[in-house]
Amino acid sequence: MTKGLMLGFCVATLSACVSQTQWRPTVDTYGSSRAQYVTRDETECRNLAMQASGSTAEQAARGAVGGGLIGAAGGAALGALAGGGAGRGAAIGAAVGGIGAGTVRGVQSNQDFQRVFAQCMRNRGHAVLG
Amino acid sequence: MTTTIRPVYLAALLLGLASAAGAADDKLAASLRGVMADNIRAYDAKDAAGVLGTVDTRSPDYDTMRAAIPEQFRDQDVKATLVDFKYIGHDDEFAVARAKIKVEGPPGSVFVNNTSDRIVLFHQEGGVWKLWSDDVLGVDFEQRIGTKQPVSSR
Repeated sequence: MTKGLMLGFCVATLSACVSQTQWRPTVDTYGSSRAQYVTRDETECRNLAMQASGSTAEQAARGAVGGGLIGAAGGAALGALAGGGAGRGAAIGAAVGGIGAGTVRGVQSNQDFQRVFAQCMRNRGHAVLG
Repeated sequence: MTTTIRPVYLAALLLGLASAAGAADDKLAASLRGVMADNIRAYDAKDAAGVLGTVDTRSPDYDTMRAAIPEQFRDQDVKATLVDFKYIGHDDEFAVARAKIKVEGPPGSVFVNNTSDRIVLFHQEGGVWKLWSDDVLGVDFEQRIGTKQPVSSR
């Protein structure tokens, strides 16, 4: 199986392949005194979760692939995410060179990302439902 | 005599049908390529309505596209190019093609130029072919420092 096919397999069949730029935990803000901080905390927790899950340009790109953007918009998302990921310059090459090389690694990364994201939000006083 | 003529007629008929089918496929391929080109042309013009106009409103990705396109236009200044387009086939409902799309950011930006290789599904809406979804087979990212040689993601 080629790496590309493995990536396709991941995108097509595994719900754990969430988009790290779009997924967020469900937060119940009813009665919360911290409701106004949800958006800010989501942004900060997302960044922390991406770091904690070892997110690289590779995984950011995988997120874009699963993000449901068709045609030119999909390519634009890939370039932006690769540029905003951990890699810079030559590091981009090293990071994305392995895209699709490990479906399991990608799934684990996504699970770590979701777990850390949710825990971070809880730590900041939000009622995370899932 | 008739036994020899009939196979000739039959062969001619089949060849005619094959030719007609080929012509129909050529027409469909051109139509699908046009949809893909319209998507990219509209994207380059930062025409959100134009981009969404190329996507079937019943597509599972439509809402994501509708939300993301204005954000992309606000945050990025990129240029997309259709590098390659190959029609693959169709059934009663969907048509399939393989497309390579290059997207480049302005010099000096953090955007990583890339060429994505995609299997694209088309679906008819109101008698017009539109984009339904796509799957990325692989991406070539262009290194911004050092060599310009693309780095394959496959």
